[in-house]
Amino acid sequence: MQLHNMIFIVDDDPIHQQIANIMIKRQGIGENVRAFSDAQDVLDYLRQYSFEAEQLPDLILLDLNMPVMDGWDFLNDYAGFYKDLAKQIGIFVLTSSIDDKDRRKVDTYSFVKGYLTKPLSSEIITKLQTS
Amino acid sequence: MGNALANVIPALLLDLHGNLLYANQPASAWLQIPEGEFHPPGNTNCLHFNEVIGRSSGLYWPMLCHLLKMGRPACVEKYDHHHRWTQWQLTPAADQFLLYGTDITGRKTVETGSVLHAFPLGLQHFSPEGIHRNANELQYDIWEAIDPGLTIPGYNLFEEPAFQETGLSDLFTTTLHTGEPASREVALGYREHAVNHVTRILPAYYEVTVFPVKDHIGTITELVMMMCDITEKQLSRMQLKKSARLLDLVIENLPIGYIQFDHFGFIRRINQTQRAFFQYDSNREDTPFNVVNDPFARLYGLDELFLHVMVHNKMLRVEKQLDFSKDSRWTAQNREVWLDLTLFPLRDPVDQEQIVVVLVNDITDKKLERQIRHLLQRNTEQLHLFFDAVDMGYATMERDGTLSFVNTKGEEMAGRRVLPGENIFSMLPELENASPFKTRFSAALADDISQSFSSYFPRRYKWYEFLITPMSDGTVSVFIRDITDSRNMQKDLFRANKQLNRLNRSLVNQNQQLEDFAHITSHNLRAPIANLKALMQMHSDSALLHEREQYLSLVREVIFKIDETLNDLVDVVQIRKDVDVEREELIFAERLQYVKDVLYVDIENSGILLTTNFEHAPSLEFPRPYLDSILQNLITNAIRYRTLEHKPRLHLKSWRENGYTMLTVEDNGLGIDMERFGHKLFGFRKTFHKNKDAKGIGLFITKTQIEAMGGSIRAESTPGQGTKFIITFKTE
Repeated sequence: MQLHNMIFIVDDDPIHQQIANIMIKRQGIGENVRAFSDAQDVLDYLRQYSFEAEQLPDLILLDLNMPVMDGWDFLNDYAGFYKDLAKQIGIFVLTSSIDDKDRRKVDTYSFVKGYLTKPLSSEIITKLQTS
Repeated sequence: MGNALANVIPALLLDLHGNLLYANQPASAWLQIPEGEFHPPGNTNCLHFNEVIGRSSGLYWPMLCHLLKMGRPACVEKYDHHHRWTQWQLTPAADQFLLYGTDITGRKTVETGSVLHAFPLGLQHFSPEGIHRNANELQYDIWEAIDPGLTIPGYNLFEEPAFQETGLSDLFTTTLHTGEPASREVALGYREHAVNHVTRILPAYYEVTVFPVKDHIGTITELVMMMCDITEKQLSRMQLKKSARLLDLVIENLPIGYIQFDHFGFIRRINQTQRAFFQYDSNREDTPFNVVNDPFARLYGLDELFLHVMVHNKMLRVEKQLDFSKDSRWTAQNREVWLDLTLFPLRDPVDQEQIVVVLVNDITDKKLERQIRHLLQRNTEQLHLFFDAVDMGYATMERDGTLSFVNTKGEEMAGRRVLPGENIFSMLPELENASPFKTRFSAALADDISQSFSSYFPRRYKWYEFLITPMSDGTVSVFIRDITDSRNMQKDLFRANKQLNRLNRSLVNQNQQLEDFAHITSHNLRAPIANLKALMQMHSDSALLHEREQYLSLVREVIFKIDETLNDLVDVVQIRKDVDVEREELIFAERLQYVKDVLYVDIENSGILLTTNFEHAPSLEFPRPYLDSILQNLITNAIRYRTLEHKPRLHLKSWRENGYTMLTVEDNGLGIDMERFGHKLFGFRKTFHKNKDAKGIGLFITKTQIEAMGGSIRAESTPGQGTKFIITFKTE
């Protein structure tokens, strides 16, 4: 079993944040789970610690539909600097959208590892574990 | 006694050669010579008979001696400066001659005076040498006006150059040579003539006749000149000549041909116009043309015309078509011509014979023009027949609208027969008043370009299409087509199309709404349901009581959110469904006041300053709850997103534009980055800031309410400066 040191949950829904936190911790795939309501805060963090691999998360679960900065804005910004990061981060889109358009659009971002639909389940957690 | 007598009778003593030897006192007085003895020839004071008497009397010494020798009276008569006639009688005295004088003035006056003075012509006597002797009073008067010198005693006309110029001297010379009278008309001097209050200086004309007076042996002893004043006669003759010449010129230069036939039908005169028409070669030697027997003239009956005028003595006017190509004897015309002939009889003023004058006018061109006009008329008639056959109204008219032709279809459209000369505008006043016809008609004439347009005539329930074309001959052609059926069809089609478009739009709109709704439900309902699902799973997987309670508490929270979302959606569905919600006349100011009352606390706390300008559109027909909701949402937004940097303001302004009522709501708040968030602005549960109060439903509801009533809303914003919402309300 692979253990991720740090997992970031980016979602404006506080209930979802709690659910994800509980499920990840319960299945023990990550030691340190941090939730962000604002995607901009995550970008700021990544830029700040871009050269410090131990400070960077292993996994980011990104929601698409968020106020101010949504998942798409995040991906566009991230595409510009992810190659300079000290560590490769596994990014998964975790959304309630089952719109095929969204899925196809996500596929165009090569650095996104998967498109997952809510709710977060033990099967999904397992998938994350093997990534 | 003898001496005494000698001193009373004028006497001269002469030698055999005629030289004066002695002159007594009376003789010296009469002859104006010295008295007493004279020296023989060669001396300075010698005088000869010829100088003293011969020259002035015209009878010289040899002739006098000859008369004496012949036994004839050797007398010589002399007229002197004192108008005295003297006669000198030569008498031989030994080897000398005695010449003694007698005053014969009395006798002479008796002899000639009475006759001469009573004579109605000027009479003047000259010696054969040309020396003036005597003249009657009339002659004196004549010369008085011309040259008084001619009546001075001793005047010799042969020595006068002026008379040589006039030819008078020639008359005398001729008479002397031939012994016969000679006569001539001469112009001598000038005279004033008053004609029509104008005084003109004209020459004076005289008929001068010189005839000789001979003695019994035929020797010319005297020349008599007779002068008759013929000025008046001469002037009237000249006037007559002038008139005749003028008449000749008039005839010659008449703009029509002039042919004058004599009594027998021979041509006697052709004026230059006619000669030019005939292209007549005057050098050609032709046999004289006689209209009565010329074959060409007879071919066309010209002989009969001539005879008709001669016989009936009446004027005749005919038009004749002559083919000159059949006769080239006296014309080079060589073509067919039409002549207008006027023949009239005249009586020759000289020989009193009846003659015929023909005035010839070449009307070939006119005839051709008439023929062409006739052809043109036929063509026009054919054209009119053609226009009658077409299923289109057609009219030709003058530029003022005076009709010259209207085809049958046009008359059908007018509803009655149209007479040429009627004016289209007075006949159909609706063309001038209730249609663009008059304006387009004037424009077509002004620009010389066809005008095409269609116009509806409500009283006839008809649509007509017009084509107004200015023609090159200054007239105007108008084509009219009844397009009512096609117009109605077009209108129906347009209406159906419009309906279809509306339906289509409505369907598209509904489809869009369905799509939006599906999107909203999938996004906004799926997330909390996914949460529910996860929580339920977690609940059933957990055996720990506190965990299960925690999950159930989260479930309650989720359910509350779902309920809230569903309520919002129900509101939206209700708005979209209820398109027939009651509209009423709303006063912007009143509704704003109502909303201000509702939001009193928020407005007071924020300190926002609301200003309005509803002057240009004070009211609106709209559902009251909607307008209240719109105003409330926009004011709440302005309060919520105000900046603390300056006093918040909100300005509402309404006006009418293109049949819509416009409302702008403009604040000076935080503003929105339209590039980033413009597409989210009116979305369901779309927020783009961290304000915890924001649910992302207000603007969505506002947009839904406006669009449900057929209007639209958009926003303009600059971050840091404020936002302006622009609403277009559809006016019913």
